[in-house]
Amino acid sequence: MPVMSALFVSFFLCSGSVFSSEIAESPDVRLLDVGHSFQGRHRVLVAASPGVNPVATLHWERALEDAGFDAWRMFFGASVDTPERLHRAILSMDEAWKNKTYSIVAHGYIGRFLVEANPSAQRMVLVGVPLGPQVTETRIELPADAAVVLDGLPWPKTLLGPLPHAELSRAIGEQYVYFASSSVAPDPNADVLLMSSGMDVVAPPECMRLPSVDWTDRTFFRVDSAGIRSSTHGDLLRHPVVERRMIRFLRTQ
Amino acid sequence: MFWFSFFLGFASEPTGEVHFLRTQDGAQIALHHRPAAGPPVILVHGISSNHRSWDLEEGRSLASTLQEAGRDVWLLDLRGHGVSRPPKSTLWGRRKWSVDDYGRYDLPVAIDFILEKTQADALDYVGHSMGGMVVTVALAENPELPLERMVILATPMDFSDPDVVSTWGLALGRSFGFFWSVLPSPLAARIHGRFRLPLPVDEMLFTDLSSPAREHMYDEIVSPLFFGELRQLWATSQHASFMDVDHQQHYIETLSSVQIPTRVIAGRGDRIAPVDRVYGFYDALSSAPKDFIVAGKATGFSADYGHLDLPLGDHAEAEIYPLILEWLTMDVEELE
Repeated sequence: MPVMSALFVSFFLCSGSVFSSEIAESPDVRLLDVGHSFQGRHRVLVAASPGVNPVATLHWERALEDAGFDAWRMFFGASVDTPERLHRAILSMDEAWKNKTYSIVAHGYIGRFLVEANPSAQRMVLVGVPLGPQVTETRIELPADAAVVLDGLPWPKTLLGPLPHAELSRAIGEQYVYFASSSVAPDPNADVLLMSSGMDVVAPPECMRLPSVDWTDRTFFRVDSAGIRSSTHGDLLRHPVVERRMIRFLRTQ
Repeated sequence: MFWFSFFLGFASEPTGEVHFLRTQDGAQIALHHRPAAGPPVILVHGISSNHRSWDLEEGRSLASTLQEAGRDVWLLDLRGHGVSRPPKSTLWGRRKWSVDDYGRYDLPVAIDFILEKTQADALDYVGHSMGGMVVTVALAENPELPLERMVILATPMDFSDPDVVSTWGLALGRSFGFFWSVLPSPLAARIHGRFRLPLPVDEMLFTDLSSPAREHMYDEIVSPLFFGELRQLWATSQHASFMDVDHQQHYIETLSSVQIPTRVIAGRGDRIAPVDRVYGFYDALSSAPKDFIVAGKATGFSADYGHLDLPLGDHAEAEIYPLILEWLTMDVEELE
């Protein structure tokens, strides 16, 4: 965590930027214009899941800014502690940006909430997003005690790779567990790029590719098809191939 | 070129009881026997492999585990693999044999021989990777194939969303194969096994196979890749479906009428046959009961199993062999 925080601060100091925030109508969701404030460039909203520190997407934001996009970060207030409030927060974000052309890049569970909210984004890049259930029983589980706040995602930490954890409400954690056992996400209106790695326990290809086979305007990319690196859920946030594919897709007219 | 490649690969001489059988189209296949009093089971290897993938060394031998459990074990070398031989024909003719031929000729003659020798009515089947495709072809030819139970390891059957790298790899292999009819993979494997070439071969094949078993594996189980196999698999990726060489039949449709109790096991770290592609085999089966297992840390295993780890990995004897034995020893009526 200290390392990630230092990276976060140094990025903004070195880039000479200042925080330029724009708060949407809802206090539950915050939209932060990261890096330089580019006027007129295509906006890309970058989202990390509740339970993951928002600085996790720093490398993506930097890559997007370097590629000429205007990167924004979406994160949620402490009041967003149930799946219903999270859903409403996403809808309020979309309401605030409904007159703007924008795309979304999402990592992990937040992508599932975004798909279900079906925002007006032009394109969506979903990386490690569980869209359907696991095909066998897995080690995802909530702590047995009655804690209201969990320490990160409800998986053994060793299986997630380098992922900066954050507090997670139990109610949202329960929804994550539910995603692993049942239901399939609907086909969103946006053009979608799906990226998945076999070593990502949260959203391996059977939980991303198979549930989306019938989607329209959908491209699937297997991150580790012949790669040397094994890409865990956390590794995907810093995988150079993921960044390249993401930018290529977002540039597509 | 075939013999040249074999020579370079130093194919091991068979040990123990081996039967050489002549197929309908003139190939000579080898059936290695590990006798026991119990019911028979046949083990069929994958592509560019041979029967040693079931019997590499002590602690990495499904054949020994099954035999010690009282099963009468038969290990098949498909034509051109191990000590089997292709049909006597022209060089051009040799290029043409494919997975279809393994399922249409090699497996049926092996099954007939085993049933005749053991006087059993049926036998169990264990296939690794292409070994699962071989039995699919055989079932398409003969839906009444006398199999009691099946365990399928790492056999892909869902080829939608083809991977760019795999498709290019198959296209490249097919192009080389066209000129040479076989690819001298045994020699390449021996060199890589000794000198660890800077290629991601190990990462593609296994995650849990430590030395010296790694080197032993490269020395003993790698057989040539044949043009016909590569051509059929390349077409499979192009059509996003496992089809016969004439592109007339989608073999996945065969599985929808199979009633053989089947356990399918996939490796979480498998990059040759990823879990979602192997799930296609399980999903297509109509047989009840059926069972799907993902061998990975997230499902309680001690490793994320790669393609060769399922039969040969460091933890296979402790974690995978018992799953195979369990399925093969369950009462069929109880399974149903």
